[in-house]
Amino acid sequence: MKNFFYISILVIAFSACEKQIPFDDPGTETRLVLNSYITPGESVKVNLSESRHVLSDDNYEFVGNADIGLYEGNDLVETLVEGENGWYYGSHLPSLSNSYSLTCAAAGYDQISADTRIPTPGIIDDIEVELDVETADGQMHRLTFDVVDPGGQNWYHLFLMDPNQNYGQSFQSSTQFLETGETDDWYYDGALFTDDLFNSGRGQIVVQFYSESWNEEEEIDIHLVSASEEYYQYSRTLHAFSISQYDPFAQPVQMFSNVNGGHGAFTGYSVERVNVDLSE
Amino acid sequence: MRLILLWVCLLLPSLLLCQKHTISGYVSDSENGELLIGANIYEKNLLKGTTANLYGFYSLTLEQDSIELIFSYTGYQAIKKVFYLDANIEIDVELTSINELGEVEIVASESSSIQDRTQMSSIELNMSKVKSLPVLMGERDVLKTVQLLPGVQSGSEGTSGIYVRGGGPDQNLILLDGVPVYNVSHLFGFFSVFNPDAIRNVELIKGGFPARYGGRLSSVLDIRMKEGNMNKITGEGSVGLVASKLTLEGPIKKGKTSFLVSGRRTYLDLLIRPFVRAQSDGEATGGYYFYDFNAKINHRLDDKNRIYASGYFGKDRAFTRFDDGLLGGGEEKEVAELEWGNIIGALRWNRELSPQLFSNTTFTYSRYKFRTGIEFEYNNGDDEEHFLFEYSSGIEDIALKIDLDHLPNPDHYLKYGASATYHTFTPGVNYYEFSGTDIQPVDTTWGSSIVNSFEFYAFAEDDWKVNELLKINAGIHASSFHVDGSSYFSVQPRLSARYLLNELWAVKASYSSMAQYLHLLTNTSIGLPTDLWVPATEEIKPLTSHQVAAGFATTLKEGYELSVEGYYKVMNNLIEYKDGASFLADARDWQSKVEAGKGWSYGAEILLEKTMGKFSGWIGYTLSWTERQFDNLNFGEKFPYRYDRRHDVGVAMTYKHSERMDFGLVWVYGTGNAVSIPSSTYVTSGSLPPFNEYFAYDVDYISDRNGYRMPSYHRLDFSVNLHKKMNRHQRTWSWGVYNMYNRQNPFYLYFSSDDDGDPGLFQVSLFPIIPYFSYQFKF
Repeated sequence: MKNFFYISILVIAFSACEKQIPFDDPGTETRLVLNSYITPGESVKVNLSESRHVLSDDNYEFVGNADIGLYEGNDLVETLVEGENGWYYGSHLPSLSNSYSLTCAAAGYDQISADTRIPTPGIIDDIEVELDVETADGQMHRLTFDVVDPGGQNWYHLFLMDPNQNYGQSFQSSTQFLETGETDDWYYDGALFTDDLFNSGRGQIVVQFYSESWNEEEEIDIHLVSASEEYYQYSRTLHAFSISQYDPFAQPVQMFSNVNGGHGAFTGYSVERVNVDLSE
Repeated sequence: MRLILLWVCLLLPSLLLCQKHTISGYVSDSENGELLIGANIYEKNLLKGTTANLYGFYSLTLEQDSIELIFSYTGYQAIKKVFYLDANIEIDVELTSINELGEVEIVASESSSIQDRTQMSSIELNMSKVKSLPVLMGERDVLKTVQLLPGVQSGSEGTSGIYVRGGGPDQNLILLDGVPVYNVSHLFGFFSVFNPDAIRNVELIKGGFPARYGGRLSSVLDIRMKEGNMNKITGEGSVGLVASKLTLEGPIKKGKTSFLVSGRRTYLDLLIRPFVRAQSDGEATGGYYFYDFNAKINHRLDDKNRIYASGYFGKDRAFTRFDDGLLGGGEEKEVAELEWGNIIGALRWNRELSPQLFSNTTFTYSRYKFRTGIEFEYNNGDDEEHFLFEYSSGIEDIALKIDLDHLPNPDHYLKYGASATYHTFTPGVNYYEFSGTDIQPVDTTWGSSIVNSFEFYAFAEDDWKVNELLKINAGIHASSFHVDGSSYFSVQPRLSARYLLNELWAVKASYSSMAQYLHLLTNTSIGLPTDLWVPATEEIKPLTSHQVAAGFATTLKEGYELSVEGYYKVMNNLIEYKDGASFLADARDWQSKVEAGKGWSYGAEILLEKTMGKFSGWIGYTLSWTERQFDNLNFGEKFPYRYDRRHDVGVAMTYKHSERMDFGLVWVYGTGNAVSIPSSTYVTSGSLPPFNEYFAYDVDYISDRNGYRMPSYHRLDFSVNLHKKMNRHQRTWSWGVYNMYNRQNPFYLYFSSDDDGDPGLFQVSLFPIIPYFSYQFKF
């Protein structure tokens, strides 16, 4: 009897630590996921898949046999053609400053739609190059340039890129209005920013990057992505999600989506690209 | 001339009759000389009265007449003084505790009924309740008793943080002898820093703040330490499962100077250390402990002047140390430490400037510091290496304040004063050092820089008895804050009113405007010591709030008090970490990691209290809503605060069976905390234009911030206290059970797989049914 008492106490004590509880949340139903980025001069392509319950460990499924319509303004310009692995292709070439919509219907899913516009690109101006500058973090190349805003509310994503390899170069900047920086103002996935703090439609940006890690061709491309608001919001939350997903103390991130009735992003952008010579 | 003389002869008697004189003095406990805060002094025939202030001083100005003055205080035998008042007179009164008289029941004082008080949203905590109610591990805790009151919510299971009327933990002004305490947690929040043996009085104010208080939005918790026994050396202590404590107090010079010292220490580390050593062949050691030390000296300079010096020192420390003798000689040493603590000091001078005017001048010091570090040393004779990384944060205050209590007549109780505080913030500094043979030494510091600021306030308030039915407390609190070239000013009106409907019923209403110049950056719910105190800056504005409350209070029958209140509070410039932000993530300035927004809190609170008899305690119920709105969180939509708790119930009861035995019972219920967890996942493009590649990147879908509710929280605790008077001391054995019906309450939720590999949502609970005991003694 005595032993039974002690065992009961121990069982109760250690059973209280962890247990499975029922999970029912209205957000768990399967929805269509649409991803598409459109830019002038490139035909539209869309990836379509489905979301899965957070407790599911099934593979993600692409969605076929869907009707995807592309609208320019209010006019249907084409219906996209299905390819492989959830890809749908169009032939229409979007143009600057226009608004575009996608509607998508697939059997077994709620119909979804999304809107975006392609913004007029900002201009890169007054580029100044300083080579092998001694900084607190070692020797670096420094670029100073202006972004000239086309007017209205605008959003940007700045990258430095290898002209041939098509990969990004991390850079350092203390320019106040740049976002998505990490330790000691280093930018690894480009820098998002808005024109909120521009003076007279111009914003000056200073970036620096390690010279010794750079390519033999001694040149670099400045890619200034002029983004739709949807691109900016989506990129901002994607960046926050990617840097925090393994930090147990990080705040949760709600991914931005402009897809009504579904998930994902349909975003427009345009690019201003300037090649900079870094030779002596 | 004759006419003048005639007039003088006619008027003289009435002038003499109208002449007023002041009765003033101190009310104290006859046994230990402790001053009795809030004791009632009441003229029975004129129906005029006053209360003793925080230092036991009272003043009552009455017309020249025969006086029948009653001095009373809850739990004490009332005293009546009858005399003819024809000049200013000082009467110091000593009241005798009913316990000392051998009574069993608690008796309420005559004129302290709930409907009489102007102050609403305020509760004074009975320290005997704190000591007789059941608690986790038997460690009596003031804050855990406060959590049982309506309008006050606890955070996570077992922790001592308080959330008042939808405010965050930084919005509570927690004062120990008038000095702000910045971190009130031991052991990651499971115990508070307040040792109940050293505490005399606790008052919680949730709204209708009198003008003398400021600097926080949501509550004032005013904790007063004991003054020290003026008459004889006494002591009390306890031995428990977690910690032991000892308090000594007594006269240094009888009736003139007294002292109090109180210490508490945990001893888990002492028990664990031998096992750690044995397991590691003597190479490793480690542990965790905390300690508190309270001290106070109280000196009566003369009848009109008293000085007090009080201090608190507390520290938590977790550490590991590893020493390894290397083969072939040399040694390696690795030390990791985590420590935090408060140092608090107050030097106070009370002066009775006149029978109607009392001053209190205080110089205070408060420091909270957190430090963590790792140190590594290697030396084999030929090569050596030394590595050190430290992170520290904290806040330090030096303040001077003066308060004046002015009682010109029984209808007005004026208070005015001013304070200046110099804050030094250290919001996260990293230090790194690396040196050794053939290594270029590195020695660098980075992170947020130290910020100094200056805060000033002045206030004036009047507790005005307009007539027999209406009483008003009106005041104004003006403050300013100066930091890094930015200055903020705030004028905060305060108003509370009580209207007596009849002898037993009163309606009350209040409005208070508050400003707060400090923010607490926190991204966990368990009060980690890593939480950062940061100042308002040019970018991050001060917090402000406006709160209105209305309700009624009544004495249902003798000893049964009921209050019902509704409130609505708006809070501006609240800060929250941005999506994805973390104090671990990077070393950027804290301002780049936060968003500013608004908050709303509204609801109703019911408190039914039984203040007399063998059976006493309270039942509190809160119905509340608390919301937040930030431009860049939850896509700009309103969302529930983490501790938005629709229903919150606290029941605290004690039953005094006899002088030798009493029982305690606590039951709590709360709606589950609001948390953000994903409901589904999907793949998206992990690569953004202008990169052409598309690679699938799976992300979580969280429909709404704090949109999911954890299971509700409830728990029943029970205790028995057995008291016995021995020859030279009194001892108490306390036995109790925490979480009697072994409710598995949620601490946190996570997704995982069960034993069969099926995924599910799992709940981690901290405390199952936990029995405890402790031994207390008093001499």
